[in-house]
Amino acid sequence: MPRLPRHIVWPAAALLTAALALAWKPLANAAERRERPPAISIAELGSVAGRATFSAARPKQPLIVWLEREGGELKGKIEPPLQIGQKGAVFTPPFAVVVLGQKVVFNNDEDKEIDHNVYMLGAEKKDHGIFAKGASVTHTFETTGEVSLYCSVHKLMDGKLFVVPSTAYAFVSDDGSFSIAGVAPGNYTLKTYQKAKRFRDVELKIAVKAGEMTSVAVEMKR
Amino acid sequence: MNPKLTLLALSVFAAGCGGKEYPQPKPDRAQLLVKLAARAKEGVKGPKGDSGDGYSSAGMSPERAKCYERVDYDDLEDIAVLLKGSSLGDGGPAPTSARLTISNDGPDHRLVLLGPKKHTQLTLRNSMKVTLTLGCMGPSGDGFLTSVPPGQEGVVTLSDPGIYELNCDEDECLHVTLVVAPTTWAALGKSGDEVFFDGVVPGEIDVVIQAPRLPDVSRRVSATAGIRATVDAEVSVNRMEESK
Repeated sequence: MPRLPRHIVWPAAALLTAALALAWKPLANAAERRERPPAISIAELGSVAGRATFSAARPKQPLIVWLEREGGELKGKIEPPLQIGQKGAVFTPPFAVVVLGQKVVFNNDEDKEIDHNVYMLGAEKKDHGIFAKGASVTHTFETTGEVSLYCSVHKLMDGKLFVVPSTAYAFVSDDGSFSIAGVAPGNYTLKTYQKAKRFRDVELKIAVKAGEMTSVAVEMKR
Repeated sequence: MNPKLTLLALSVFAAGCGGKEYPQPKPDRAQLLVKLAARAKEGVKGPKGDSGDGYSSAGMSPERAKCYERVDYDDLEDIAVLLKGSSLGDGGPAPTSARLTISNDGPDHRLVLLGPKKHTQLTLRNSMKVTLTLGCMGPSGDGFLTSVPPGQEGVVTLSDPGIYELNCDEDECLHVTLVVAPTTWAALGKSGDEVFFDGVVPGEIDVVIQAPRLPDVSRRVSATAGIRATVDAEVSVNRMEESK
């Protein structure tokens, strides 16, 4: 095969690459783009850590701190589906944090032939109908905020989810400390969510810098 | 069959079904009659209670059997009816006090209704054997935090309209919604009840029905002087996406 001159090969290769890229672009749908992790190396990520203090007795229920990025969230990897069981007419776990775009699978894992229903009120409003033992329904969360879960059949079967915009969240520990690692640099609003609301929720403007830890003091007041 | 007898039978039947008698509306005021109903989710197998269809609680521990207790939509209690409208004014029947008892069986109400007055009181009765720490906070920052020793009562106040979720340190599963009505035009009922409002100032009124664990139902009514308007309100999970 005759060898082509270099001044022809290189421009041809560049043109071919560009054509392939253009052809590929429409195929890469939104979901695929979301699954691509952010092009930020670990060294370029920052973190947020701090301590929450309370003006009165803190309820023994989850308190979450979460970050909302100014200018919109970066596209990140979608979290694997969360499984919620219904055995014993109890949502298990009864509370969970869900990341925007994450799927939640509700499994009717009863031992006996017992029907369940899942409907949700709050940030998302949806009835998933009645489903029998062994069946499951899946819901993808697309709105941030609190979602209450109920079964229309069983009157004590209640659960709660809190949907956050990204994985930049943490549970506040019993001693009030919290830590969020792997945060892309940028300006954020740190917000609180209380499963049992007893204090005014907090909103703090913070800046996260590459390779640095941002310290935050969160004062929960009545 | 004799037509006269048929007519008589129909008259007796109609009289028997006539329901409650209400006074005639005043010429310059309107009346609202809200007929409450609750409907179970369609497609659920088996009747209520023990039926041998898998829902039987025979052989279960009392705690486990309690989890399988089913919602009785024919006897759904604690349904709040709230009227919203700029012309309503004061003078409605909203309760100025309420009482909630918490025992080993849980709270005796899932929803408590209070009027929007400064000195509206909620009495919390602790029928358990431990001190209960009870608190809540609404969107405006109004709320309370109180400890009630066993066998005793605590009195708290809420005055800002809104919805509050009562929480309890000793029972994380306690779910009680406290509703402070936006106007004094509010009342409680249960499924099958007729909630009657008399002396309503005419105008456009939103009738909002809030039932425990169910989506709100809202109906807009033009309250007309000298007229009684009837509103049918069914709370249900069925066709939830259609409810407002």
